[in-house]
Amino acid sequence: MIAATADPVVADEVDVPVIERKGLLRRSSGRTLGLVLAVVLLIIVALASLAIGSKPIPIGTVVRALFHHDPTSNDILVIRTLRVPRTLVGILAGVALGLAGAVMQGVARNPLADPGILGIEAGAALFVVIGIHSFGVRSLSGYVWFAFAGALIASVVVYAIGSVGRQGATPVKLALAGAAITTFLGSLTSAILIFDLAALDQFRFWAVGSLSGRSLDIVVQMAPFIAVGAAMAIASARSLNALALGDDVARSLGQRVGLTRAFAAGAVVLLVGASTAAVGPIAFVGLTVPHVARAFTGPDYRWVLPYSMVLAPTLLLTADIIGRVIARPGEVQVGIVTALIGAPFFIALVRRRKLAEL
Amino acid sequence: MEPLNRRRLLGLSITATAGAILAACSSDSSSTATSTAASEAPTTTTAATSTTAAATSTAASAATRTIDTIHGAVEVPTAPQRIVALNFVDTATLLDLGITPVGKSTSGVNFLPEYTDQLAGVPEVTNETTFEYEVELIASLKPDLIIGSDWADAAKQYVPYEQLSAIAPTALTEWQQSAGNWPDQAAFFADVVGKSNELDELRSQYEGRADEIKASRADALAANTWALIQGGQGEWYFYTPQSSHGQVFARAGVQFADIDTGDDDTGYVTMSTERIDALTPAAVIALNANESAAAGAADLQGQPLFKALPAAQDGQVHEMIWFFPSSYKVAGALLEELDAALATLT
Repeated sequence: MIAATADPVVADEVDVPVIERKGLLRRSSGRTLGLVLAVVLLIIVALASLAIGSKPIPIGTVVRALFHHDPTSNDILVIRTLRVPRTLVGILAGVALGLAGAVMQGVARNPLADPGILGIEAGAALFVVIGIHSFGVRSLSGYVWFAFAGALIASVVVYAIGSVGRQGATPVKLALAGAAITTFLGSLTSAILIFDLAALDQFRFWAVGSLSGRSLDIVVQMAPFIAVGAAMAIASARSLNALALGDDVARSLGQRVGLTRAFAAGAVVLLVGASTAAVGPIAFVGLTVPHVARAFTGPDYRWVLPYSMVLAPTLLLTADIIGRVIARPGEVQVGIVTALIGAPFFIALVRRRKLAEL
Repeated sequence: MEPLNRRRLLGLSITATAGAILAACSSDSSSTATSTAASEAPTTTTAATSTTAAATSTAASAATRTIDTIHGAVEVPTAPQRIVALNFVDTATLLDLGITPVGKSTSGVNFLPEYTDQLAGVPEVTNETTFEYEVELIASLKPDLIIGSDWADAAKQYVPYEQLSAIAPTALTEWQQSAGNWPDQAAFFADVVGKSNELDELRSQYEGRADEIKASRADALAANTWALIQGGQGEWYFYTPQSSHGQVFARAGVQFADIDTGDDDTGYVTMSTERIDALTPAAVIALNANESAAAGAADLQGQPLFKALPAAQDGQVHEMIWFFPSSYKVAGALLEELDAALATLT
């Protein structure tokens, strides 16, 4: 006799806390299907990113460009040297930002947590400005290592300050330390830029967050860090589920809370550090995508993370495509478009009371 | 969050008002620090002193005269001693005429080294991060004349005209995009300070040199078309013949390539890197490479699409630093760069 539809709440594994299934997709099969559809959507958007741009290029040429290289054709050069790296960088940055945002919200137990509170973006920006001002760095690829170093150093400082005291790095202390360090680093950045207008002229292109002008070497340089960070993030999914129940409950379930937090924060730093180094600071993606993911999957991080990983690059590439076509012959940078799309979404988010179910 | 009760609301609003009053009253001492850092030469003996050159101007029968500005007729002194210049075109024009202003605005535009020496110690009247005018600073300089430019369209105007007129007579002329009308601006400023004759001399020198180039490089000019551009990182800018530097090139006889940008702005057009191939018709490219634009120039020249351009393949991409000429002397420097580039063209 076939049992009546088994209550999926009776969890498969015994050692994982029972989590009520919320979200639109309540069965594992539904969620898997949803994930597959999300991947398909990502592929479609990636192909659109190759086909659509500031310069109108016929689809036949796009397809041909992917298989043959012809240095005498400007259209083929556009596809191969501009749109392909741009799409790849967009996917990479999107994956990083989406995962980092979801993990950050889990670590901080705060639906409004953004990786920026760890001082990552402020640190990256300061080091890029130092690179421009003191070391004469000129190229986007040159900024990459400065930005990454700045991101790492800033987050280490924030974490160290937030860990002072008996309880270690609690979310509140981390947020406070992060806010203080971000402000401090921001003031140092402004101080340098006030005295060096030429640096400001150069820095402003990076600071807005853009996929344009990024070459394949940037993709190659940052991919390993994002890969490691992504692996760390996905590995911490179950621990994040436990953390969501509160520190004490998590401890009683056998989680090493301090270690889990440090590990997850490390993943966030790697992911956002690499993404900011590659494309500059981009807002709202890490903040809003996890909520969209949660609307489908409920609060189980074992599903939220993969969904965020796939939905975020879709959002980022869509924003980039929009930016390419609304201001022809120029472009609107993706950092601006995500802010335009993200801000109303964020406001709606804050006003709804039901969302904060982590 | 519990609702704000009346006492809290009162307390908050008093604090906010007090804070606002304190902020408004605090003096702004950042500008002097900025200008000392901005000037390249070590401070000379010339502090923000007034001009003596104006004393030799012909004594008019009245102490003031009426000038037509974009805000209507304004009474200005016939022999101004302390002049504040609100924009880089007026700053440069005054220096060309031998007058050192008591307040300057350089906006990061390339200035001739001799200008920077003359301007040592003169404070910058624009806040370099917000680009707003520091009205208190201007008032503290006690000027007797303020000159500058602003958009003709009242909706776009950004100069705080009422506040400045309360300090001193303020004469503003029309600003066009990318300082495209800088010769007209220069003529206006020279008229306001009573030095139109000196300006005419400078103009005829500049025009003489332009005509000289037109004649001596006639072959190269006839055989090639040009495009003027600047690189940003991830985008680039195309300058039209109506831009301030475009006009200098046009005066010297340069022919501009017919570039289809898909936009009809008069000063410059922002272009995506995908559209670099719009420059294909240009045989020669003049690329802005001054300090602020150097990174963008390097980036642009590294793009595969750029390297595929005919001008790049023929080695006819010329980096120039005197884009945005703000005065006849700077325009002269740009003419020399043009001449050097033409010399390489057969």
